[in-house]
Amino acid sequence: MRLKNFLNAIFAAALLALPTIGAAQTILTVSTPEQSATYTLEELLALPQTTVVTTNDYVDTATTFQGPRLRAVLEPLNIGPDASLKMVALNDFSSNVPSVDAFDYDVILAVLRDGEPMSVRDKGPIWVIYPMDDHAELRDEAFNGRLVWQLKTIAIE
Amino acid sequence: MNGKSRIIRAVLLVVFVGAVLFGIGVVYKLSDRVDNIQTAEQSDPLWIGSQLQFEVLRLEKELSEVVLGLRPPTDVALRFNIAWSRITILQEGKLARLLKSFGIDQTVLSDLEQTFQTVEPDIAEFTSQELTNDAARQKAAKILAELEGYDIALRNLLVALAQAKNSTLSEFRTGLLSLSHVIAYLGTTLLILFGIFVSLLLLELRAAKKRESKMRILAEEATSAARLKMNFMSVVSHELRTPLTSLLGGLSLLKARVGTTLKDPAALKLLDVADRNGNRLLTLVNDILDAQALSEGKVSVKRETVDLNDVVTTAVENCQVYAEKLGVSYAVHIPQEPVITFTDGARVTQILNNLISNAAKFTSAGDVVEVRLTRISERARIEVTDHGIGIPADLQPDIFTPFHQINPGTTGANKSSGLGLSITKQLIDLLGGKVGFTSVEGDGSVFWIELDLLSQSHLAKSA
Repeated sequence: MRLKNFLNAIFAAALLALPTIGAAQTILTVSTPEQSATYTLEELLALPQTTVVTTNDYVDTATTFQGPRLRAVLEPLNIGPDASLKMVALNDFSSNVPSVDAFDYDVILAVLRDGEPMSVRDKGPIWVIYPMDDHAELRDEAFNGRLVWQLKTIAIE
Repeated sequence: MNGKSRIIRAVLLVVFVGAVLFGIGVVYKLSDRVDNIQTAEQSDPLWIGSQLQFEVLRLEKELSEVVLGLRPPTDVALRFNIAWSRITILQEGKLARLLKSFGIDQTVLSDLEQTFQTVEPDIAEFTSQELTNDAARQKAAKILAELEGYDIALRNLLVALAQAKNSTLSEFRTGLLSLSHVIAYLGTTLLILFGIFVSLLLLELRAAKKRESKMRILAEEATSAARLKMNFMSVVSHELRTPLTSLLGGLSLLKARVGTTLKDPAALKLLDVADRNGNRLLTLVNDILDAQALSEGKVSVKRETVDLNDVVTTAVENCQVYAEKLGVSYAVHIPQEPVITFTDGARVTQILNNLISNAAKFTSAGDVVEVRLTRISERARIEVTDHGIGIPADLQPDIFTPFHQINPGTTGANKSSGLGLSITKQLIDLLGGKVGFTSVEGDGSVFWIELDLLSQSHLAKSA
């Protein structure tokens, strides 16, 4: 009985591990004209994490978002606060975001929403989140357009 | 302030408060409106809706391409998920609230979601890549068939959204229009407030002017009364002096003639009393005339080089007789050298007479009044020290103003006009000197005057 339980547990663990192995694919590319860096979900989760609890126009109530700071993926490529970031989503929607936002505020690349990874259907796998509840000035319409969901690449041209 | 202006003020104040309240109300309303405008301009739902339509079309296009064999079915799942995400976006957060407030029929969204759920297993098979190309094409065609009809439904949703958006915009426009009215009201209110403020100011100004002119009339009346009094006094004194002089002259002649022959001591005593009181009256009259001349600036000063040693000696001699009668003697201390000043000797003598006779008057019999002349660098100082009743501290500030004399009751026998010190002060001011005193009640007083010495260079020049 005990052995059977144990085997079941191993099986379940293997089943749970499977999609993780399958998902070990690049979900974010950050590039400058000189170089580029790629990240998997695991790599993003391995970076120092920041939690932002905030509302925005696209959620019903205050929601907990977790992920690395946008700054954390810009700094390895020496992207300073005076650049313009072209953020491209999975559906090829793109938005130009001044990189100074990442240095002025804790803008995060949210990969967990309420502790769960986000599916593509639910604006995942990466959603750019501004801490709008902590800074009244971020509630301006101009920042709404910078909440890029289904983020695929960040590029400097 | 009369009743009418008070009523006007009250009315203005009420209007003022009313206007302020109205202004506050308008501003409050204004911020409400601004909030509305901010809501209206945020998150264009039309754009989000069109994104849904766009993604469904892209999904259909990709499926069609799979059916035609133009591309492998691997990416279909991603397109499917993206299209689905557009549905969830419309069902969550502000957009869901907006759609609800617009009252738009959202059944197309739930229908589409249901259809997505039914085709989801088929899509999942695409990703597993175990399908043959033919099977994949068949599946894609089947899914396409399921999606049939949503193009039009989605277009209708967009049309409804556009209409709702338009009506919001027209509301917004109406809001703007009423806003401009409100601003006009606000401007008028401000103008009214300004007008009220100005009229209140004018009222206040007029009242102040009235008050001022009233005060001026009062002050003029007061000064003219004082002048009249002074004039009257001086006229009376002038008129008194002439007969008084003749009286005194007659008296002294009479005394000289009968003084040696008259044997009745009582009659002689009467003559003395008459002479003394006549002299007192003359002093009083002279004081009044001096005071009047000083107050009108009619006193002229004849400056010449004067040795203050002589002045002090003369003044003490002048008062000697008067002091002896009171049983008071003088001790004079003068330096062994000349103390030369450039001043009016007669006026300084008059001042010293005043101080020295005062000292005799206010000290007790048997006392020695000290008169001391000293040089202090470039100034000469004359001090008159008595050991009499002194001056109470509370009377000291007024000592140099006219008609002030301490304790007239106990000094009844030595009564004077009370003008002496006031005249002294005005005279010394005229001469450019200083006068002052220190006094302790019961211990006596020290009165002093100071005058500039004639400088050596000046001496040399005149020599």
